[in-house]
Amino acid sequence: MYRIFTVLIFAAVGGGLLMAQKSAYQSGDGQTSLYLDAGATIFNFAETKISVAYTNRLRAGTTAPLFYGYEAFAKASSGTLTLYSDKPKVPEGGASFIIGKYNPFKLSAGPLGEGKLAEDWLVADFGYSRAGFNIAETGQTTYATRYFDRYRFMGAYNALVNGAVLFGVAAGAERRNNLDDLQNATFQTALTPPSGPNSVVKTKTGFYGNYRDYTAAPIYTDLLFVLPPKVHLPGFDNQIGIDGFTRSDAAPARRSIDGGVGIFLTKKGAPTKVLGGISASWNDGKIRVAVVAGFNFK
Amino acid sequence: MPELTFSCTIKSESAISAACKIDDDLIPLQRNGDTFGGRKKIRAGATARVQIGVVGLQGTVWKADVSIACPASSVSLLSKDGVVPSSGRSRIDRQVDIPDNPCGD
Repeated sequence: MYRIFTVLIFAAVGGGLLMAQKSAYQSGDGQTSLYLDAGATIFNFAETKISVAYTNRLRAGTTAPLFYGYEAFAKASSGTLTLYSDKPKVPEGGASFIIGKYNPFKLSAGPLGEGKLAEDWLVADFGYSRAGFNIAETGQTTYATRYFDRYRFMGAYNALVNGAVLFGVAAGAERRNNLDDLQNATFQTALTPPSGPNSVVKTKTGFYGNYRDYTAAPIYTDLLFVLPPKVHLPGFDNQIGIDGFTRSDAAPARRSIDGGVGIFLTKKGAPTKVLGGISASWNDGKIRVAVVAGFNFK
Repeated sequence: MPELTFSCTIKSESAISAACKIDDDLIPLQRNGDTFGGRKKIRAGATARVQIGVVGLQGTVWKADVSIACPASSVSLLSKDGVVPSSGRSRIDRQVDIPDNPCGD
């Protein structure tokens, strides 16, 4: 049974200097190549994940256009809202750090200059996280708890061509594992000797199959079109953003290419603040639809 | 020409970058949440050229305020709001009058 519907709810608490590093113009798996400020705290119900982030686009538009940011996140184990996924949740915690630079190729006008682009920026994104899970290898009847260290480096380039078009590309390397390909399993350990038809057992969820980790070479692209403010849905004054995206892995071990499109509603007067939307993507002929709902408490 | 402390504040929930110049002198802006703000001492005559730029996705709302910061108060020189158009860039280029002895020294 494949995960067909994913519900992502972003409860974004903005304020002060706290801002997330990535935009909420995301595909259903939470990936994007667009690095825009968003709310400081994001709660992702689908993955039971909460993240807190900080970014400071220092001296924006001036002579020292470097900026940086960091993010810490924790992902809970199974327990809440598992109806959105048929896979056991794997607890994971980690952090990432970004550093970026405006106008890296002297192509953009910036606020007061001249150039072909309205604005562009480069971002280097470093991340580390650690996950723990139970697994029984193929042919084994006992399980063991394993830990997985995820490392990630992504370089991203974003170009605001004009007020309507934002292009993003990100590529890098990430250590991943194949848990998504393994079978869900429930492990039972007897706590008391069987007595007739009754027994007391302890159960744990996990995975069964041939586990392996590998280095992926993710390549993400996004082409975001933001429609003019006067174009809106009847009864709503929100702006509309349409994001066409690809999510690929260029590593020979698991070469793949996904693509899709998302339609998002943004806060009036603040088109970088996504309130909600729907994204659909395809992978090997399978279609995945994700409903994205967001709240900006500001 | 007296040296005055000019203050520039640009508020926007969604601006990607912003800049402010007084007589072609760039005021270094620091971002704090939705506010880009900064101050700089600049020698100014009877008038000053004020340039403000905001970059963002179209529809981005912004509000800019330029003033002379005095020890006890401030003297407003320009207050303007706008919406980023389809070019992705909003710009203001105005000549403003500087009051005589604005801080009452």
